[in-house]
Amino acid sequence: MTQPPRIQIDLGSATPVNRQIVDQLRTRLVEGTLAPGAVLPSVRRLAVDLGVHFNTVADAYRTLANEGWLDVAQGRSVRVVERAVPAAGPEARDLFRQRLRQLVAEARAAGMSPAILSRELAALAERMKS
Amino acid sequence: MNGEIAVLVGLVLLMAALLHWLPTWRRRGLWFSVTVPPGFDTTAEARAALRRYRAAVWSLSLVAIACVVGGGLFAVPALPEAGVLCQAIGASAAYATVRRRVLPFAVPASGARSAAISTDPDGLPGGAASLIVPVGMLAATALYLHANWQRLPERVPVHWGLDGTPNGWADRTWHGVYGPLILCAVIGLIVLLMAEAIIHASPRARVAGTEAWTRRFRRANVILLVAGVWGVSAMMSLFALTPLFTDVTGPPGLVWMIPLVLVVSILPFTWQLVRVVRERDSGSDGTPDACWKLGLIYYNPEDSALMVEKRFGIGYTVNFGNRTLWWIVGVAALVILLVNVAW
Repeated sequence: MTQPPRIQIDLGSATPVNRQIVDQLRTRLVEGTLAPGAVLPSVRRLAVDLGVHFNTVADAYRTLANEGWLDVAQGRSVRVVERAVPAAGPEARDLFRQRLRQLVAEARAAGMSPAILSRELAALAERMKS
Repeated sequence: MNGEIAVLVGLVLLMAALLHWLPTWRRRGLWFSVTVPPGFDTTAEARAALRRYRAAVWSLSLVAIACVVGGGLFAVPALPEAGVLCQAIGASAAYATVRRRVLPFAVPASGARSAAISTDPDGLPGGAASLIVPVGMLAATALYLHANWQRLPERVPVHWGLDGTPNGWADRTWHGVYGPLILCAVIGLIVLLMAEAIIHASPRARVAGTEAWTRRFRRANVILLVAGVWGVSAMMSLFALTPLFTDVTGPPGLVWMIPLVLVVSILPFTWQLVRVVRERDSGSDGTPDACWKLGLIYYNPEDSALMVEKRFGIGYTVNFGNRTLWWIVGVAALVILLVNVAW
């Protein structure tokens, strides 16, 4: 039996829990681990499993629904929907560059060599193409 | 009288044996309700804590036995009950005291949580049959009693001594005959609702790597609850039919064997649950130590789980910090009050 994908949060992290949930689910949605048509656990189920308040999970699901990833209509199961990819404007590209630079700087500060970083970025780009 | 004392002493000893072993039937990452590093249970400190607790349990059990025997022999009212109570409350206090000694060895609290991104396909074992079978047994019994109403004696037994002799009676009235069956149905429904709450309102596994064990543990608990409801319903049905098939005023027959129906129906599933608990890959449960009051009571208003695994004993307990629980308790208390007034 294949294990379902899992979500990991850290209640002690400086990042708010709803943001952690959004980030991890979005990563899986982009990578295709969660494909259109997939049913996500209900707000209640995920909140009970993670030991957080219902509102935290509901807020995360709402954010992803606003981005066009989920259908969260009341009374129905939470479902991944087909999403039209918006055209990224120059602001989005600038924001991405800025974040990437920050991330690379963090990784360099933590001791990762440029060669490793370059390999990781190349592998990531390759995975995204496929 | 001596027979009753012997049975009560036997029960006290049985409880002592259970309390003796209970702290070792736990998730492997816990020791006296404290999250500890792997292998802590083999350290000198852990063994000393366990010895201290067990010494308290057996001392309290001896006191309880003295109360039971003394109360029985010298006809001191309430002394046996006080002894049994002393054993139960004392053991909980001993557990809480020993837990405080283990707390300094706790691993630093971790906020790491993990959950499967999947829906909840679980349900009660057997589906609708888990409800239909016990309710059907009780309904069929009630119908049979109704059809044979005239054959029932004027007074029907509703309670039996240990030797099978009736020691509690009710008049042959609507609530005297059907009351115990209705009560059994209500209690059965409550237990099945608890099983549903375990399935839908308790965490499936908050610590990565413990999913398979948690799934087995939840399943074993739910199956035991359903088996218990079936067993109790069968037992109560047989008791209700007793006046039709035996002379209730005569010498005790084989009535004492009826509770064996319950024992036989739950014993294999109890054993299965104990076996799951003793497996070694259970890790920790992902609830914060600080939310376990005295190591026994879980109070966490931040946690939306209605039920969580017990840390002392096998099974599930409620989250006293959950507001839904208090609504349920309030409504239940109101219903009991209204039923009492109407009855």
